[in-house]
Amino acid sequence: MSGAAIARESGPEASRPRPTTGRAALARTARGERSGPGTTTSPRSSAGGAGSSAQLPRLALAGNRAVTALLTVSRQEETTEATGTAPDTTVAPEPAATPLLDAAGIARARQYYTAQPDRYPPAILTQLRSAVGLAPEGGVDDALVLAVARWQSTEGAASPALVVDGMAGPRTLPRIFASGLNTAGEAESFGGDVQSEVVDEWATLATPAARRDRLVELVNQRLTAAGVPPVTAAADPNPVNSGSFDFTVWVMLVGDGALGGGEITQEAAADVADTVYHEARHTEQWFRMAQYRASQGLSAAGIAAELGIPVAIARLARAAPLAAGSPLALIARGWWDSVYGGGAEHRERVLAEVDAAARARDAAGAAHAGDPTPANQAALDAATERFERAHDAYQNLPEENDAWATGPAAAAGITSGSPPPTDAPAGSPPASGGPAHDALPEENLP
Amino acid sequence: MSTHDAASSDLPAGLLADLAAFRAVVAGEPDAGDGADAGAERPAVGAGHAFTDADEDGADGTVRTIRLTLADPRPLAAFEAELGAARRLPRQGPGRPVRWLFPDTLPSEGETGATVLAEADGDGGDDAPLVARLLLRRD
Repeated sequence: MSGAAIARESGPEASRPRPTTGRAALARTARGERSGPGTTTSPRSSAGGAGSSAQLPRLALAGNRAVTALLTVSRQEETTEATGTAPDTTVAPEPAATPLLDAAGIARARQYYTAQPDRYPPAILTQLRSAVGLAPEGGVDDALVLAVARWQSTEGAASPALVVDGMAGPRTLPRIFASGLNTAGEAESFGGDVQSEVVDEWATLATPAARRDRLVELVNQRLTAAGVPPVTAAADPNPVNSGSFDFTVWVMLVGDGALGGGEITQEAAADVADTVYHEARHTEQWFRMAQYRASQGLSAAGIAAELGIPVAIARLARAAPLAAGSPLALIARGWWDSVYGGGAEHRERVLAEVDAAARARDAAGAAHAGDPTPANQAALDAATERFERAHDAYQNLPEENDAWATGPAAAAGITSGSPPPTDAPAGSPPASGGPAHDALPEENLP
Repeated sequence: MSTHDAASSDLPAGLLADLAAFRAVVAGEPDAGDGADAGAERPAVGAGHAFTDADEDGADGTVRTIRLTLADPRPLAAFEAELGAARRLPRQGPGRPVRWLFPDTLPSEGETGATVLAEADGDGGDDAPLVARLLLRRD
């Protein structure tokens, strides 16, 4: 539930990872840009509000597309072996001129479906075929595989781009069968609401708390419309954490850092909208997982005990189970598998590696800052690469992949920064946004 | 579930009584069990007490959660001896602490109670995890 795009800072605290603006970082990743270690860029052009880490120059994480592709192929194999369920992953689509899949790839994809008849019964296959433009009858055939591959290479090309493998797995399915917060136009509409009711009213709302409450109120409208219980807004104890969803108490935490200041830039506002929507998508995921377990017969108490969610939320899920055998149930099963089921151990390893890689990169950065030798530079490069691999794997978790794909559209509804305050002190900079989605260990240090 | 062979006696004196009183506050019970008015009086926190901090959250006069910080981290197994086996929950994301839920503390059907969750610093360790904070949730 944390979609931490990671930035690095130069200076004395070089390489301390900061979760940064999701939308901008994603855009840079999509462009294949990469800032070399030691390079300083400032994706946020001006300082944020009180306590905002955005005042420091930062380096944006940007994926090397070629390297990412190689890594995701490797991860795909590992993931498939580990869980048997999650072959689709993120990678750049192949050029249109080349065949999307060769014979072996088609065979693998067909095997993927036929080996999991409980996930892909005829009712799912007919809906899948229709969704990708085929006649509903036909079951698993080459046409289905190639149509899914085509869909992945076109409709699924937005960041994080889906791997083109013809397998409609836990990352591809939520995009094909869009629902709730990732229904077409929903995120943009939310962004528009944020523009008119938060950004344009920045000065009137005046305080981070008021802005946070309004943001969460707006996203709660979307959640409620999607049949998802609304979250409670709360300030993150760490102001640089710009957003996270705590499923144990059904709370969306938004730090004050991104919500302070007399003004907010368009870019920062877009990041706020992206982040809040990303976290709200996690809220939806958790409720769908609860509804999925309800569809399997778990009681409210059983759901609350298993998922760790409040009993009141579990009761609502129990009262509205997902239709067994529906695409939404299959999608929720994919998230549940990743978080609570067969993929849980893999997920924990991925999270642990992000933490460890961040610490290693911090240490290498500190060593390099104190003694910038070629050897220390090489160590920093290696640590940075390790971290980027870890972050890619994190973003490739089904529930994260989905949230990362859902949030950015909210930014499209942001058309400007806040109006200049009429009584702003001279030189008071606009809020430039805080880090996105969640914190890495360093953010939680005092 | 911890395999650490600890008992609730590993917990400092007064912790369990304070925990019970805080749970009564969260559950909205009129009496903490010792005759005190739980709605008005909370156990003392700070230096020399079982908990150094109690951070409440709620609305409309209802306490929704209380986050209790232990004076010193204590073995998860010690709490399991008192509260039943703990279920490790998935982490929320990188940098987020490990949490456990004590399912036996979930309220019975139709009742309101204070469910207990435990939180570690970092990953809490694998073999004998230590609890740094308790989260009491109104359910």
